[in-house]
Amino acid sequence: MLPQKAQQWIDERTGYKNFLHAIFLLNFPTQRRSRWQFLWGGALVLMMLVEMVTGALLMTVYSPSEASAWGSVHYIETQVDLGWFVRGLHHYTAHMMIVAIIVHIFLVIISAGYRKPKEFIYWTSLLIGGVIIGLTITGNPLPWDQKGYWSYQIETGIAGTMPVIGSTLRSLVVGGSEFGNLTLTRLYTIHVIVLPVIALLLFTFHMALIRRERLRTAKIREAADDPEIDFQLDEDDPVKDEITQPYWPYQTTRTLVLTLILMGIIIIQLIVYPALKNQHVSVGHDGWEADLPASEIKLEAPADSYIPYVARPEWFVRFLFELRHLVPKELEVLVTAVLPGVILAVLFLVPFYEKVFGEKWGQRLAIFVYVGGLLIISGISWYGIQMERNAPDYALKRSQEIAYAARASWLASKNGVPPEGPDSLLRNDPKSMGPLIFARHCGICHTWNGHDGTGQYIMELKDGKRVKATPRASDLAGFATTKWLTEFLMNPRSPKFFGHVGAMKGGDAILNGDMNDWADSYVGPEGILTKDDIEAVAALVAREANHRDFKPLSEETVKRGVSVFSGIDFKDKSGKVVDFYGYCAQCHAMKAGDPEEEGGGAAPDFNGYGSEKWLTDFIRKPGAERFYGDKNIMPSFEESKLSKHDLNLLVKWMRGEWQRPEQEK
Amino acid sequence: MQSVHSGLLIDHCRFSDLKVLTMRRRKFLKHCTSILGSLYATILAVPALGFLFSTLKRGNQTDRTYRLTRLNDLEPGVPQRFTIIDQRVDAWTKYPPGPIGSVWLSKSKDGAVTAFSSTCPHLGCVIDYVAGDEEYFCPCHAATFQPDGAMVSGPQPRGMDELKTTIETIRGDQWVKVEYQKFETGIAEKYPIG
Ligand code: FES
Repeated sequence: MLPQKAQQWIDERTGYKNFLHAIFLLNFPTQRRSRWQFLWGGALVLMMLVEMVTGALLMTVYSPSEASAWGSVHYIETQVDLGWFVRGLHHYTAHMMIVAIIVHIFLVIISAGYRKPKEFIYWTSLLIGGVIIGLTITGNPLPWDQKGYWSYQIETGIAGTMPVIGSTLRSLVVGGSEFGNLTLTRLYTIHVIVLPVIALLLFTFHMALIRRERLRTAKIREAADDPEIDFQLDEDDPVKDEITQPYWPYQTTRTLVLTLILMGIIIIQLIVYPALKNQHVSVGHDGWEADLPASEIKLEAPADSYIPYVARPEWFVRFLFELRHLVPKELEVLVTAVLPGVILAVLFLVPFYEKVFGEKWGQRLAIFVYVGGLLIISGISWYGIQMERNAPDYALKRSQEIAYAARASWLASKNGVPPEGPDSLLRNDPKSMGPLIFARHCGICHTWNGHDGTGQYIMELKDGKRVKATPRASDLAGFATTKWLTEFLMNPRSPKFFGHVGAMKGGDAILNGDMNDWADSYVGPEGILTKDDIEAVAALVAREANHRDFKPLSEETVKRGVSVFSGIDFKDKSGKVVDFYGYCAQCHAMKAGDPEEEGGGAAPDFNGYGSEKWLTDFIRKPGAERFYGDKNIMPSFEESKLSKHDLNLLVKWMRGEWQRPEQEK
Repeated sequence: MQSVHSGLLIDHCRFSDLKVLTMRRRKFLKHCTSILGSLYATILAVPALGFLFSTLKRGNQTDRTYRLTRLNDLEPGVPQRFTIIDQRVDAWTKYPPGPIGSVWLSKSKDGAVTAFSSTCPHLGCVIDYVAGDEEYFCPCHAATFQPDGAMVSGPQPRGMDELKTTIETIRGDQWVKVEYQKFETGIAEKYPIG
């Protein structure tokens, strides 16, 4: 601190002491009666300061563009020292501020802080509340993850339904009709400059009004207490029971206590909440296992309209979103534009209630409207969240979202974010895209562990009820593995394999075709082939696929497999070499199982069966001579239907080939 | 600090013992304010400093070794420039492999290989080799260097930055490997960046 003399020297020339007193409310008289109530305003100021400091820090790393927003936030969370803490503080403090402003306004209402001459103080606090909500709405989409992206879609959508100005407003904010780089730069500008400046101006105005009002009260008291002045207060004048007390240090201490308590809650929240957030869903539904524990998922997956995500708005606009779904389409504008307007008007008009109903009832009405409104709004939001969580496929959808979030985070930490943007992390990842491509192209006929690859089922209407549709072709999970092939050979007609194809045109030739006759003649209790024979030949064929977890075959298995495949040296149950007419090479070609190179030809070629190349060629043209020829009933997927990129991802996914965490160890 | 006695306030001093009490209380509260205030400031300042300083230490690329050419492909006495191709990580973005710099390799008559970074120690332009004059030349501010990297003339504060080389035999062929590194420009010492 400066020595007394220097302080005085400067003060004589600048008057800084008075200035500081004015700014920091050092000698600002406060009502004693409401001293605990007005702490919330002070706490809001201190929290705003936290927001400004943490916000400025985040600005030093954050980069508002589609290609880098997500990556930069992920970088903050994972690479920057205490980045997670700074970002968490910024995020949760914002939400705490909304809570604080709700409490603050409530306290203002119950202490009649809107009464003459304080109307403008009340109105400015409402406006500040609005700006804080605006800051939260514009802040949440900045990471450009699925959550922010979709909630901003909803919020701008709601803005777009406003009559007359709606669509102009929306395109102004969005920067065009579609979301993109301009959306982010605009959001960023609004979030870091426009709204903070408005908030500061409002705050200055608010404080100036409060100061004026307090000084006035203090003066009145002083005059009333001064025996020299001939001035007495009325018995029922509220100023009568006000004992004023300087803000500093009395109020500052209390304000700091409250602020620190709130910040303590925020810090606990930011440490504990990420781990608890997804507790209510069992992660790993239908194969959607996450690559990271839930507590390490700091961001949802990068914004991408192709990756499924259920849009959920922020909690404080949730009620609008829910109501919007409850009313018919034509009335939507009532909910999205009229209702918020009505809420605003109801709040703004509070000072006039007393004009109509008298002081006592006017205030009661204000309290009733405020508390009642809050209860209704939270009730609707709570109802909406419960409805969503109780929906039958909520667990599936949420665990899918979590799996994507975890996958993207893991890939980003492992490989870095490519320059073209974070969405390519998942777009080029077989594990993430495979199920979607399968569901889209294959899931109409085939199944994957019974579902369509993503865990969903294709539904159809039967007798007026929605039921799971019967698949039309085989289940492809585990395709070309020893297990899958063994099951198939034991019973080609099972519903898992050819069972359903009969319903399709030309399918009967396959269902009741040669493979079926073969199984009838050689497999089963009467058949000559034992389970071991089937398993050996299945393993031999599965070896062609060369799956990542395929274990090398023993020589004995190979020999046995070859004997079944080619019929050479075939031994029956008793170990005697016998003639075997059901050998595979008659119809199927596969060099590894066919020493005499008979070469098959009548049925699909097994050279490289299930390998990347085989699957690619097959899917492109299942009716090729090598494959089903003219018996084929599967549509071919040419480049125009299924791009090379997607086909590659699909095939890799079917074969279980993608970057895995456990491989790194 | 005396400002609380501002004339605007209600007079606390009407009763003298009450006044003593009030003064004590006020002192106590002042202490409380400063303690709580510093706690508040610490909660903000510690993460802030951690955050800021950790983003300063970005780009800590460890020096890497690159296999550039076969020893036999180098012509003795004629420096040749090789581009270093590598992945570049810029904060969160990882770029696909691309040129990140280049080096001059020269082999003496007795087969010893020297490597120089092609980055000019003056202000970082790319140094050329002028075959006719047998010297290195930086086009930006006309720095010239001898074939052994020593300064000849120009504004540069030091000679060319030599890089460590090793010879590795791979399937009978001898390959030149260079440890590529960047150095601070504009100062007399050779001070590695990162
Ligand atoms: S940069 Fe090379 S001479 Fe200046």
